Amino acid sequence: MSTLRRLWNVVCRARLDDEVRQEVETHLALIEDEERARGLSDRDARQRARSRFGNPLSHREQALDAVIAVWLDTFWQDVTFAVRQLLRRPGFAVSVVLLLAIGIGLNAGIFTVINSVVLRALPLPDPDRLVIITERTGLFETPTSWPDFLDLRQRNRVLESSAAFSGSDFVFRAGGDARNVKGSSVTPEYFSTLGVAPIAGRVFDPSESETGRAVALLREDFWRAALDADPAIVGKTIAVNGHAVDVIGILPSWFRFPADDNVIWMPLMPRGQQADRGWHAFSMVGRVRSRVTLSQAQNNLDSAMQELAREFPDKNAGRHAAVRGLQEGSLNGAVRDRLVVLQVAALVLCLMAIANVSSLLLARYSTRRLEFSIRDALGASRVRQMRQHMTESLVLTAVGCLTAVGFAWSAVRFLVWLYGPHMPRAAEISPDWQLVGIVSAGALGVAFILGLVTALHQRAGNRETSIRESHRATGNPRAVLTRQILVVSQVVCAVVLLSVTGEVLRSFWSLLHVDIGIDRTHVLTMQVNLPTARYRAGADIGNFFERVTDSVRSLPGVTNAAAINMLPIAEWGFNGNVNVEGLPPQQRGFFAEYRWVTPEYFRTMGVLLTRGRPFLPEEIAGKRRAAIINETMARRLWGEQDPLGAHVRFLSPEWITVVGVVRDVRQTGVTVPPSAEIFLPANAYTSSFSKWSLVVRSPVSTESLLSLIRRTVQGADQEAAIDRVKTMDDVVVASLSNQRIVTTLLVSFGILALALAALGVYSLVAYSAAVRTPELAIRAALGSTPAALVGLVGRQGLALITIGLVVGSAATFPIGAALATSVFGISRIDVSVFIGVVTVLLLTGGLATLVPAARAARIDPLSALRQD
Amino acid sequence: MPKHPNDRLQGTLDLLILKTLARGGPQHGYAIAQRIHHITEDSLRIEEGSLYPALQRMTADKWLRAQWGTTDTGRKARVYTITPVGRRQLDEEERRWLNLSEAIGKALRFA
Repeated sequence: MSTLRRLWNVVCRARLDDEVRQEVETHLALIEDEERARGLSDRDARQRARSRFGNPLSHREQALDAVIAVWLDTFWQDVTFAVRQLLRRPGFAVSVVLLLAIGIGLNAGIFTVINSVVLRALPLPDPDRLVIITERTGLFETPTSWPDFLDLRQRNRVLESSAAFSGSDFVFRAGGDARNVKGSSVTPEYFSTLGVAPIAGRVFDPSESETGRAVALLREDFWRAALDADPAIVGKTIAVNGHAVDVIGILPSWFRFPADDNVIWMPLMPRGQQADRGWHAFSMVGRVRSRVTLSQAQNNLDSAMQELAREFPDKNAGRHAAVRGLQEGSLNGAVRDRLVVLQVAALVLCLMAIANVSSLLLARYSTRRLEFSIRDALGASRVRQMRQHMTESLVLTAVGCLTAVGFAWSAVRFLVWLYGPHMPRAAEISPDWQLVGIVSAGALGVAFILGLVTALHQRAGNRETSIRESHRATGNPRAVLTRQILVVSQVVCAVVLLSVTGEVLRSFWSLLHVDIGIDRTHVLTMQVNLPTARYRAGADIGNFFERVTDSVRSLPGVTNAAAINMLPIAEWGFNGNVNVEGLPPQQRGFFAEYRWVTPEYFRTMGVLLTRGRPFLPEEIAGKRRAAIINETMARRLWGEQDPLGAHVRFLSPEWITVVGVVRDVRQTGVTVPPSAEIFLPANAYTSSFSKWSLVVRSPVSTESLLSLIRRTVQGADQEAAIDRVKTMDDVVVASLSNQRIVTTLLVSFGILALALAALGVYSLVAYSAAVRTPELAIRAALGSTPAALVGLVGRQGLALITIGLVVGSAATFPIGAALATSVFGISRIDVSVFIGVVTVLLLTGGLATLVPAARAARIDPLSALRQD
Repeated sequence: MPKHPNDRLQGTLDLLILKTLARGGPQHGYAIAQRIHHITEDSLRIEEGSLYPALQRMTADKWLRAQWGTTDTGRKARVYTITPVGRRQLDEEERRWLNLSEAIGKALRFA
């Protein structure tokens, strides 16, 4: 008979059993009839039938066993029994399931994110061969310049194909509203290098980037959302940057390169200054020839780059090439490291949850000793009892597992939501069988651990004594010892996790209060993007912002207003090499950031002028060239000497006079030390990059001011798109969002760890108090005060917490320091943090001890003893 | 599947059931038991209930076909019929049994 049939029969067990019973009844009745016919009495006939037939029950069972899968049937019985047992104590079952769901689900969720973001290959053909090529000077990494890109492409022998691209913001206009969308300008080989084909239409052909015909490719989801999925869109015209642009193709939604929010691609056509060798604005992506390694590619491209450094020392001295895999390059290293830290923290939490569950199971096992002893006495084999234990933990883990899958997926969604735009490849994260697989693997491990814990305490004692003892419920000493060890290890885990969390929190707090060189309270910032069609020259853009800031400044409630082309902290500036008149050639390649500002910028932002003077009207008007530099640049180039009056030159051949020195402002991030920086008047702006930031100082609330500013800006140009309105404080906070996210998560993990440790302490103390009820009752009857009883019961809990704290402290410093250094750049765990952690743990643990102890001490000796 | 404690005995019971049904046509469990008692002249003392595991197994193996019917006294009973598969099985079991008993008989005569 087929196994399948046997399995199916398990399901039909009830019907099969019914049929056999019917048959057996008939048979017995027929024998009785026969015997009665021979003259026996009813009673004798029935007895005779029994003896001829044998035990009907056992024959019936054997008849069923002959046709069904017995092992499955037994298992099913075990499962239903286990479920009934668990339903009798729903509190226990729910706590275990929740603990498991949290422990397993959290890990599975974080792992899913790591897997999709870090481990899974990019959805492009042969992603291993895709590389990002950048330039490096000293500590700084910059994109390539246009001529560098062309030369590298021509001179290298390792790339099959390569392309340049530059992400930017476009003003997209559909109907009346102008809005800012993310896009990029790319060379024609971009799509073939990456290996993506349009789902409709075609990609750029080389002539389009030369003739400058305005064409665009759109991403599928953008085409659906913004253009109502117009089926005839290819060949139609849309308004981008004030130009009429022909849509020539649609790219699939999954294609998210160079950025997740990139929805438009247009041909890259560097003109004028953008095509200068000193203008570093183009990222380079390449496809390495097959069988060429990353280090071969690195060496070959770097030697090409060094040739260029020799040929163009003015602009390329000291520049090297840096080659990274695209997958690695597209992933923010910090995101990866922090996800790993979260994973480690989640694993620790999972262990704590398992410790709690084991402890609960042991307690339950101890209270059920009577039941097991009776079953043993009735002849249940050890194996059968073992199987019952395993089945119970399996049922628990299975339900926990199902809950964990749901929990894991919510964790994934939550992480993606929390990271928002800071999560690379977020769109690729989806629930899959891998998630279920991870959860199941985790659950299997957990079930194994739990089964082992219970199995270890399968008591090989004397039946009689255990039946007699269990009546008094003194508790299994071995199980209690195991539970004590579990509680201590939970406290140790909590100490370590909380210390790291506390230190991360402390360092985050200090990051929030780093002096970035700007007086950032009461400053509102926003990005304003102009349609490039009507602002062809850089000076047009600069002049627009000078005009606009003048009008904004006269608005009621505005103290001061200015504009800058790249807002510090929020955006990278332009940068490149600066030549200084009279400096020896080895210092020719001095590297600095350039920013263009309207005259009131320094005063609006509260940046102090430490030397020299602000720009004069003729310098603002562009009649004389002047620059203001920051302190870092002054110190590096001139040391103690006076930089005022010195001449510098970059991007264009004219010399510019240094007229002032301002305090350092952190340019690229709170944690990044300031680099050398040059400020020029807005009028001298030479780029066609038309997005600037407006900064407005005002004590008035944001909302009321914003509509006024919006009206003023759009009064100056109706097509100006305003975007990313934030106070300067928020800009700083947003720049720390990665740290903030990890800090938030770690803090919540820390709280969870604290709760788990407290739960562990609580359940052990409550259990041992319950077990000692008769003893406590006698003591109370003999005159022990409640305080003495609390001390008696609580002593154990406090002792365990103390041991845990001591072991935890010993472990915290090395473990915490190792974990922290590798990821957060924290060198050690601060003593104040540690003292805080110990205090919090002592208080929480003390409370977790005191509550059950106090409850036990309120015992009424009479009723407690009578119960026994 | 749990083996009967005595394989030979199980084989014997199967053989007897098959033979009974092949000779006497469709019958229910009680009738099969009476028939076996009758032909073996009560020399094989088996519990009548032990027929049922064998009937279940043979029905599942398609040696027999079972149908619900009624007894002469109007009780519900399952009536078993031998199938062609069952007949082939019977032939084979019969031959094996004869071979075995012949061999044992020889052994007993010449030992």
